Amino acid sequence: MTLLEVENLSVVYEPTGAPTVESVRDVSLTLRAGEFVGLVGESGCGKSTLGYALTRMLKPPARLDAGRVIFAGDDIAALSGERLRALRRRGFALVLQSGMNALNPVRTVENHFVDVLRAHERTDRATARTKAVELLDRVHLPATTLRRYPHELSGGMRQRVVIALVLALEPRLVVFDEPTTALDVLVQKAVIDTIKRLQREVGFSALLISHDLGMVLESADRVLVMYAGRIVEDQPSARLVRHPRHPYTRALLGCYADPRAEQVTITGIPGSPPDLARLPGGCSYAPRCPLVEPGCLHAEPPLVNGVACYVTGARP
Amino acid sequence: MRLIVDDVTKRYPGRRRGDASVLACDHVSFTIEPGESVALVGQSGSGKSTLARLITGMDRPDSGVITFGDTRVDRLRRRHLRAYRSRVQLVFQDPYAALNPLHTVRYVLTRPLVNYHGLSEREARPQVDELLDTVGLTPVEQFAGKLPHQLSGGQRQRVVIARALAPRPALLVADEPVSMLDVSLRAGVLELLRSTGVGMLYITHDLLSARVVADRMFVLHEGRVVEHGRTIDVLRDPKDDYTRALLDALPTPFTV
Repeated sequence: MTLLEVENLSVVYEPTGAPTVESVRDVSLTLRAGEFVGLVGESGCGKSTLGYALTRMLKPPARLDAGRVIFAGDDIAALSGERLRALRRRGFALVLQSGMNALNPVRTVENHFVDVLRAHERTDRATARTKAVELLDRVHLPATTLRRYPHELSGGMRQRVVIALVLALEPRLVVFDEPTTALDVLVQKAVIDTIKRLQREVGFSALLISHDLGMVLESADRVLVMYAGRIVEDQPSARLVRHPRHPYTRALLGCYADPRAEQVTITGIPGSPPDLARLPGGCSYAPRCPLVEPGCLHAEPPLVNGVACYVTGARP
Repeated sequence: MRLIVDDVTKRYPGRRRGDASVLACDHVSFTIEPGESVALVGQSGSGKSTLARLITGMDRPDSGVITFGDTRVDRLRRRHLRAYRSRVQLVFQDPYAALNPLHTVRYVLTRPLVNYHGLSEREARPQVDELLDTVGLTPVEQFAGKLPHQLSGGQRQRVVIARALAPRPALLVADEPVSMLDVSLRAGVLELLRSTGVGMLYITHDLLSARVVADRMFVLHEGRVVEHGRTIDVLRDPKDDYTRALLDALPTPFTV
């Protein structure tokens, strides 16, 4: 069943005194109920903006310029008042990059749960508390965590508390925007494993946004690769690893190797991500692409059969 | 010049009165040969940063000896310490925090040349251009006048590295220099660090970058060196639980 459908979505930033930048450009995608999808790209490619647009969190100077986001049959741009509140309650949730800093430093963990649960459900404090203990258990935190203040918890524990809070309202879609960026490598792995396990147990749809393709491949069933505001590849994870098609995806995969191998070469991607205010005329990856041909320089390649490339994909 | 850390111990007092003291370095010994890159791997709180502070002269060991060439690092004071710091430079983790947002790239790179080598700003000019060229920020004229906010994370980290190279140091102490950068930019910065030919203590949690940069590595746990050897040998046959856990955390699609 399709949970989320995005049709030709464009988002622009219109800062005062600076040129308008189109940050998400003509993106179409679908997310099925219970699916775990990764969204990968370099800093500034528009991946966080897309995540914000999907959860109706865009704020000026960002503006939805064209296209539609359909969540469980509703065009989310058309909702307001109680229906929007209901969507934010039971529909989707966003876990931010610095989510562990989203907790109120002068309130205990218990108060955070009670606030969330009582704001949205008619429930007394004792019931809210029981539910909070269950939720903490799901993210492998002891019940004693309820008495703690955020500063008494490590970064990884705080991010677990945030994830448990998000699950309190049983959302159908959770967008995780770089949920582990500021964490230690091992804590990072533990948090991602927790997200993956919960997604299987609870059955929500997940969109995991990160620059780290390796981490995303560990957990996502399907990967969307984003470059300069557009989706350039959309494949199941297993196929993406074995048969990457877009030259950009191949370059991202070239950033990883097993450090125990006889010869280790990581290539990285030469050059810098493009300035969205000054995009080249044709394919926006062309200036960094080893396979570039004269035909790439005229028009942006459309996403056909999961890849947007004139050279390695099907020609329209 | 060779760096020798010989039987170094450092204990810090507890944060509050009554707290137990923390043994941050417990009889640590190792050497870095001239021009050699060595990786230092360890969990948060294992004593990596303490070691970096001791080697750069920001702190003194309680016991043990640190020598660099014929300089006794653990006894340095004032102007000798200043001279030493021009030979041993730090590369910081966070390229967003390590640069003053109000200073242009040219200013940032001119200061160490003025401070350590007594050059005038005019005399420093060609050297600044050369540094920008070395770290790949070309065309030089275009980058010299920029402010940090006009640069990407990878470009900023190249400026931080150029600043560290400016006094022509013999050793870099690089504390997680790529962990804040996109994966796609890391290889380029690691290649740059390697290509300088300057000796390096490379502090990290990231085993792949340790393998790429360093010929030898050692693993620190609770202030003690728990294993050391050629990077590839340690990674292929890890003895320590933390090293094994880091290997288990590598993304599976890329493990052989």
